Amino acid sequence: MKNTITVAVTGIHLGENPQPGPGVIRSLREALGDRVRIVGLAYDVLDSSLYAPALLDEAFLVPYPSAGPVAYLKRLFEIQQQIPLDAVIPCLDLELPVFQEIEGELVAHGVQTFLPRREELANRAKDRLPELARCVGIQTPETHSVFEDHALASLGDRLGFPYVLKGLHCGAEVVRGLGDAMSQFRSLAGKWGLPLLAQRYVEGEEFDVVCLGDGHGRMTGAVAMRKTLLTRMGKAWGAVTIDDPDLLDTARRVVRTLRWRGGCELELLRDKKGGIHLIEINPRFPAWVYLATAAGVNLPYGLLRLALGEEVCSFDKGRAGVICVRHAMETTGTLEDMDALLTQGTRSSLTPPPMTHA
Amino acid sequence: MNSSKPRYEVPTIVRNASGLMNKVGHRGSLESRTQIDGVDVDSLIKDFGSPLFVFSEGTLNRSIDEARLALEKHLPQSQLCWSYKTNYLGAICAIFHRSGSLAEVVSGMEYEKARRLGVPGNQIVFNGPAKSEAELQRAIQEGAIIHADHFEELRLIERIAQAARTRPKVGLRVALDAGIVPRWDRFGFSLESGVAEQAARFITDSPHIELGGLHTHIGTYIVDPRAYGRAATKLAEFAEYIEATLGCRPTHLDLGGGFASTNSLATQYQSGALVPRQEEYIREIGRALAQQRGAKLPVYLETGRALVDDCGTLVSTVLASKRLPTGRNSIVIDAGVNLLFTAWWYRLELQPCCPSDGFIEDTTVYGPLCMNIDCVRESVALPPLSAGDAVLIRPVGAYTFTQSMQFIHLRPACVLISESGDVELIRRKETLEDLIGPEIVPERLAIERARSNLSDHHDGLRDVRSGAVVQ
Amino acid sequence: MDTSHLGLLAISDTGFVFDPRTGHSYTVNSTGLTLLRGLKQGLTLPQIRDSLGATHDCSYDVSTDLGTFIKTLENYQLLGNSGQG
Repeated sequence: MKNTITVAVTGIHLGENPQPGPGVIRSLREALGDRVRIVGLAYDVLDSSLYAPALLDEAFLVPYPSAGPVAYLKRLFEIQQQIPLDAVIPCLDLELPVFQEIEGELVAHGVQTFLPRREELANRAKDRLPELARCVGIQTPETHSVFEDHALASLGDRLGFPYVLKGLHCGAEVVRGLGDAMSQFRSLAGKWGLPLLAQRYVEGEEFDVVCLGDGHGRMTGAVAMRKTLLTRMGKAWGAVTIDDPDLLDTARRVVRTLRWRGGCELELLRDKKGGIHLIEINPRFPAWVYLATAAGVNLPYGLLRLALGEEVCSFDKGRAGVICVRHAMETTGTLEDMDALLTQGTRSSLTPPPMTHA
Repeated sequence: MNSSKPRYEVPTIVRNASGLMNKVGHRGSLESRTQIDGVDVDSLIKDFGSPLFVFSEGTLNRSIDEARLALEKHLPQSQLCWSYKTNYLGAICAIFHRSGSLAEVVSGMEYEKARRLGVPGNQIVFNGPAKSEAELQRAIQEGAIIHADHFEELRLIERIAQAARTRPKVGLRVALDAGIVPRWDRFGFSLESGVAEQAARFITDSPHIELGGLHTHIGTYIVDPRAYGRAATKLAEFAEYIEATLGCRPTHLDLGGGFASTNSLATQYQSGALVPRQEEYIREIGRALAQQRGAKLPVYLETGRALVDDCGTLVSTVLASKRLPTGRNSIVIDAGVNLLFTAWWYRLELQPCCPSDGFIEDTTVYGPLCMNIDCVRESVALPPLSAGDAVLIRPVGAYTFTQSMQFIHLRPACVLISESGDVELIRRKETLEDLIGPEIVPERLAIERARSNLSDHHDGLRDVRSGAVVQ
Repeated sequence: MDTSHLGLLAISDTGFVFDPRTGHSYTVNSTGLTLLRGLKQGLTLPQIRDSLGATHDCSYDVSTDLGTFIKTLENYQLLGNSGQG
């Protein structure tokens, strides 16, 4: 590895719905100290990491993924002109299709990434979980796509109440009867679009596993945790690492089947008889990824090394019993920071990159 | 114009709203573009007026080449058919026919158009749920490739064939479940419910008609290429089943169209630039058919949108900019939903032609119609624009000109930029004659009588104003 | 025109404007910045119009644009108390 590595990281807002970027950055800093230079890529002038001390060395605004791959690549090249980047680690789901599209160009310009390929990304989609679970040989709750509210009654007969209604990308509600299902259908469909998924409700304990796949079927490392504090949205506010070989073995088989390349988070459920069910796969590190680092398994650093083409040995298993609690506090900034970000699109100590308008 | 001075931009101030503070967020809109295929937009407007549909032959050729290469690689026994309804401007159709495409038409009008362009009847695929008796008679006589949509049509074709003492081949449009939604089951004969088999039996039982090909068209703007693999598998298995049970081999499989173009649906978050390439769809079809045991039938494809959307740009001019009472910025341009029917469900891109100093604002874009519904984009990030500034709207190669209408304004000219950069007029600007030519004003409503009635009416009004009693 | 509040605004060369009384911030384009600065210096609208005309390439009388801009400033309550009515 070079003496100093410059890494761009996205998803740097720790708000009500915390993003993984800060956990990834802290993990990289922990492994590399001042041998890493972090370039924060923000989607808004008020993304929290922009004002957090000791997190970012440089910061730039980037186009929303919806602006498309051409706009995104152009902006990354502008930044690259100012600060030669060695790697970029996108941390948000919606960015993946864009980064998959521009990965070749980035690599050609010396910017390494380590992303799931298109097919893997599609194969882990919520509506394909039953197919995946069959291949892996694990259970997953019976799931059906729902396009119209008049299908809800027959789903009630089929799955029994309660069952879970989910958006294709986000959102999930347990519905306890037809009336409940109707009203949640409207609210979820309004927020996340159609189709929704109706999933059989399985009683049991939920666990999350963060893992890193090397793209050839090997899981280089993983840590499992149980949530100890929940936000209203069901996100972890507090968690504790656990040592459950079955959960890690499940994760290993999923990563092997998908030949997953990059970080991901598995949501697993253990029913009363001890059976493990696959609930969901998120195609990137979770916001709590630093907990794994604290437990001795620094997956973001592993991902960076894989991106840079280095050999990465499998991690030892993490320590159980490391606890974490999210600690929200105010960080402060100046009008000058805001001015620079708003009007120049950067809070860099360097001269801002030229933005082409013509 | 004095080029040494900076361009004047309308003074603008916007309040920064939390969650929306990212000047590069909608990056695409910031880029200005002054040329299309090397031709200055200013000169296009000067020569042909604004608005103006501009088609790029180079872009179209590259897209056709992409499809052909993919077909050669994955489906060597295949035939591309140009879907007329996607864009039936004569010059566009001619480009496809020159490159070897058959014509795929869905009405008598389109059929006639293809014939007039010199396409022989036996190179026309005749689809659609509404073919008249006369149209079918002609198509049968000229040997067109017909796909029937319903039993009424099958019975009609049988009658025509009996009377003409011919024995035409008749294909079937098959509706099938390819695992996507919405499922298009209104067209053709349902496979899963067994109706398609009944239809095939109807044909093989009839002494007057023979079985032609099997056709399916699973939907539009399909983003999952695997759906085509599933459709191809089902259609091929159905063909094998028919051969085994009815002793009759279909002549071809037609997998229809529906490949997504780079346009972005209004409801989708991601940019349309991320939709699968044509090759990904074709590869899935090829893979699925390669796994079939039965006879390898020729495959027809009628992909329209993915081939042609990118080649079209609508040049438009800003007529006015208005700050709405809510504080929101808006502009009025000379092209509205009269020309951009597609604006109802696509998030069309708007690209200014003038440079900007980087300031952008969420702007509502209205068209020229005196109708509240005439909105091209509810919200798009644009620099401040003034009357006379040109904007480019794209992609509009597919379903845009064919769905445009003479409502309130006549339709503008269409030009084609050739590979060598020549600009050729391919449809002149419409005149009032084009609109009123087919109209007939009954003699009793002729202008002389109308004028005398009008003046009687005016006299009456005058009497009322002067206080006279009108009986 | 009461422009007493203008003096309180923090206006940067980049077009960033901060109103310390309300905490709202604004972004202004370069012609808007010229106008805002002119008003702050006490120039009249015709003076500002002429100076914009002299420094920019423009084919029409921009008085109405300036009027609309002033209205926007009033709506945001950036000018002064009398501007609110």
